Amino acid sequence: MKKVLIFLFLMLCFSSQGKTWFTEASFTHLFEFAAAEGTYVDTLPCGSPVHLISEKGSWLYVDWKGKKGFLKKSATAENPPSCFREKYPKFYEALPIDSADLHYWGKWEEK
Amino acid sequence: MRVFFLIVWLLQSLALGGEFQVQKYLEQDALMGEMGKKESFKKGKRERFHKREKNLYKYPSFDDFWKFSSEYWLVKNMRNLKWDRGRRDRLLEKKFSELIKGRGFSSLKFKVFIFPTNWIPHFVLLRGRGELFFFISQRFIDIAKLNRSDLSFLLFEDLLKVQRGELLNFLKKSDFYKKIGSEFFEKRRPDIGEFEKMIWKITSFYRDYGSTFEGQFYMVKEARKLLGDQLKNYQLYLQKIETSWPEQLKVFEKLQSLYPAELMKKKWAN
Repeated sequence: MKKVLIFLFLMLCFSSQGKTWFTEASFTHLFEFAAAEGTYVDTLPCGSPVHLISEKGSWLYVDWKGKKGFLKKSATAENPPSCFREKYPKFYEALPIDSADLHYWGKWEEK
Repeated sequence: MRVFFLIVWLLQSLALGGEFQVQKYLEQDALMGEMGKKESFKKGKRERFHKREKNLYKYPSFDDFWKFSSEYWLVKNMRNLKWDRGRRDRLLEKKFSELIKGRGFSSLKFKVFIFPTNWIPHFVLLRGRGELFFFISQRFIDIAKLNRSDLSFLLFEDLLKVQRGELLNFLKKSDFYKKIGSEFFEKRRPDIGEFEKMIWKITSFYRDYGSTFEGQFYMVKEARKLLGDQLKNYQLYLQKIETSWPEQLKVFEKLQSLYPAELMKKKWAN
């Protein structure tokens, strides 16, 4: 009985792992460590599918196109979100958004 | 006898001919039906494709526009606003929630940010219908020596300005405003120049235009009507604004044109 309970507990703990999550904010920084002040590996646009490896408090440890890092849980969703860039692709593509903007946009999402 | 056979043969051939005719019609009909089905399927497919294509060339809807462009504006003005060194003030959010409770703003969603700049003293960004971002300069708070109770009145005034539609009325004159929610399928390219002009106009509203004398009068009149038991505290806040006004003028450019009736407010509130 004990073994069954332990097994069920472990199943519950790891049930969300290995799943695909999606970034929800316009742009989200993928951090090297679970700290918003640290360096970031990349900036992910809204709707990016990430492979969940594990959870750590308010952070998700994920894999995105082979790059591993931490995402703020509040900036992600379990289902594909409705993203501006996908809803209005031709308008979005024409906007003058450069790498500095992406950097600040990611920073804004941290607020 | 010959005549009899001839009649039988004629009748038979007629009967068979009719049969063939019917069969021919039936076949033709089925074929036509099939062709019609195929045609309508193709038409539907074409229409769906066209609709999908057209959907790609859309300007954002009102809510999507504000949600996106508020962030876009913040990102493009980061160096002036210095919000990267700012913070969200959840205690002030709580205080403000308490103030607006029961005053007709129950569905309002908002966040309050404090940022270290003297570029703009305070402003509100729209995030679509019923959602706002409030910003207050730390420098402004320090000069006017405002506590969270005072600041909740400042936010209330800004909220009343939004309710009056001051920013939207100002932007309605720009060409892009008319394009919100429309499409550019025929043109194939969106008018980004006009979008940029409108973003610039938002800056102009916060930096140069601000409020009018009538706008500020309306705001105080509404505040007096809605604040009820909080009116005394509102007057205390106005006293602080009046006292610190000369100091504010030294730090914030064009403050006089942004808030032309700032020194009249206390009188109106009384």
